[in-house]
Amino acid sequence: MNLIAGQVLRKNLRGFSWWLMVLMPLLAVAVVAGIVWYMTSTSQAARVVVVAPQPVAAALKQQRSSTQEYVPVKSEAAGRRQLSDEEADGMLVVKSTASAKLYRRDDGQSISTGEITQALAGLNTAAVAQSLGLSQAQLGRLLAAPKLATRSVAFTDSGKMTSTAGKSDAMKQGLSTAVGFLMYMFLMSYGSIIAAEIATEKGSRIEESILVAIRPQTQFYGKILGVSALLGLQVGIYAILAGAVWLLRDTIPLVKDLLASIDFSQIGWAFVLISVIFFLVGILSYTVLAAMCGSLVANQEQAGQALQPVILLAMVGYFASLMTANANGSVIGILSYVPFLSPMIMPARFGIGQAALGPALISLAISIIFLGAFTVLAERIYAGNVLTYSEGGIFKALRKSLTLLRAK
Amino acid sequence: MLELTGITKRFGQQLAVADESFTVQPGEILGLIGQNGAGKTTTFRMILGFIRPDKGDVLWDHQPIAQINRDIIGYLPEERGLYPKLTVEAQVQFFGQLHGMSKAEVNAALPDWMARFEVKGKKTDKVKDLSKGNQQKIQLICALIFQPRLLILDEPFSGLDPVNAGLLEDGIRALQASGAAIIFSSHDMSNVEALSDHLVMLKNGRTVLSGTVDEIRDSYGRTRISLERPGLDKSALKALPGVSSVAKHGDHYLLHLTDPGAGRAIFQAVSKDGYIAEFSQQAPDLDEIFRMKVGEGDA
Repeated sequence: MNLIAGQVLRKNLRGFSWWLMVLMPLLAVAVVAGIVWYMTSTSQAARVVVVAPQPVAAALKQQRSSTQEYVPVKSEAAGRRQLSDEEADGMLVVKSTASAKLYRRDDGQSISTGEITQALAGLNTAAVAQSLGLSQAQLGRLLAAPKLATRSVAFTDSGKMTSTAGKSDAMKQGLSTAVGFLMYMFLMSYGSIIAAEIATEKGSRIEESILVAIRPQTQFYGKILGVSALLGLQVGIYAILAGAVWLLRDTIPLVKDLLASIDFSQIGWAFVLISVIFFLVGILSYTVLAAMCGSLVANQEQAGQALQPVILLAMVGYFASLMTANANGSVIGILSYVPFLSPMIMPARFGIGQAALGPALISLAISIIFLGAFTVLAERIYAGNVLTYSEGGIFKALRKSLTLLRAK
Repeated sequence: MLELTGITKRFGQQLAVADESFTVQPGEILGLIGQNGAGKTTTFRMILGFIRPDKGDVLWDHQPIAQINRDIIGYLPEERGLYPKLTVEAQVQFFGQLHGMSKAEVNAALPDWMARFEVKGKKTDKVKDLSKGNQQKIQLICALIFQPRLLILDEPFSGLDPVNAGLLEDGIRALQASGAAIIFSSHDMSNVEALSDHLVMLKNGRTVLSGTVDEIRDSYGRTRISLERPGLDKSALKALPGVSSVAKHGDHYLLHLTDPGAGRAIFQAVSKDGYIAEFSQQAPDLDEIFRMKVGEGDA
């Protein structure tokens, strides 16, 4: 079995298509990161000259952001000169913190008026507080934002409310969609690898030479093991790269900004674990299905036909997972327990708090038990078909196999 | 020793093999002949365990063949197939390892086998870059390199020119000398006649001939006389007692006899004027026996 697994692994590692499959997502990330980096590195902060009383001008100078900077000038005439010489993108004339006028050059960098309004509002509040004789503590109390705590809940069939792990729905829904998409991509890739591998071996008649030495069952499990090793390798490569990026996070501003925008404490370990296990069970289920379907066709030209059931099931699961957030109906709920579909739907439902941990674990258990039973059935169908060449199509071959299995 | 005892296989209503029995001893070569669809490949598939006989047993050293270590079986299928993108070395390593060899053992043996079969190409060449004939030789090496004790060759000579067919014949002989039991099928009766210690002919799944080549030929009697420039013309030859028909090919005549005993009188008649270049009284050759058997109605 190890020899067959090694053969599958080596053949794909020597080929171009597996590496392309591994590199494409990395290339896509690199291209997006490159575009973002280019845009941020080539755009300069807008320069706004400020004509204002000295304390206001000094306070505004301190309010510099990554997109806007404030430079005090002595007079409006000096400010106009800088505008005409294209040394400034705008001129802010402040009579008082409650009233100001902004002049901006048509061909200059874009200036955020919201940022200016916010800066002046802060200065105005401080000035008013001072004129009213308020202390810093009183000002702090006045400006304090109300606290809003959110809690994600789900309801059991008996109507009992349970707290789910969910805290940040938007982030989890995004992650669920990403997991669903990744799973769709992975299962299509690995499904086509194994279906094409078996169909090619059948078509080239090399199967007979191989099966002289080993049993079809051994070959079947060897191939599943080989494809699993490929999957593990691909995930491993991504994990190593992610680890390297994590270690270098402080030296890459783009990564630093991205990581700072994610609140990891909001995701929750239960969600991560459920998603990862569903991901692995899902990919394995579809790989087994594709191997079985691959054995039902006669040659490589029919490999596409072998993938049809895989594509159909995967599409149902993927689109159902996308609709999860907007569909509270029982259909999606039922589908989230159906093997082949649950790996894509249940993490999404669990992620947005539609399903609690208990139902998610039940669905996972159903998927795992089904995977075991389905693998045994697929192995028998594979053994019965791998040396049979029928031109009648995949479903006819499957029907014939099931009849033979029942007869045994 | 391989033993088939009364094996029968049906596919639906169609009888593929009926009550077939034979044995192949170590160091013996059995030729399996028959028209397309006679049941040869089905027989091979039952020996290899790809399909189960409905009746009868396939035994190796008195044990059901399904229970033995399959490393000892070498097989060259009728429809050839290799991994086109693998190198010759990787390909042979894979099959060698499948049959229990180590990579180092394969690497050590491969150059000798490539030289023996005069493969035109290097072990680092991809299989798809070799000619069809050389690909066929590589597949043969894959089936032989682990020195199988039971070797099954389905139409091994098809597609080979006479020189390469001779190399293959030498390879089979070498394996026979090492004590392997060998079965092969072929449509070329000259190969069958040259190689087989024992012969089985199938027709519509039934065994219609079984024995050594000489036994089978002798059972038909010496009813063919080949002559070169005899002293008689075609009509005179046909008028001789015991001659049923005469065929002329240039200076050669082939006489079919109703009775082998008529040969002596025919020799005296054609040599009455002295020397003739050829007089040969033989049993029908395998090619002719094959045609006769195919032409016979089912019993």
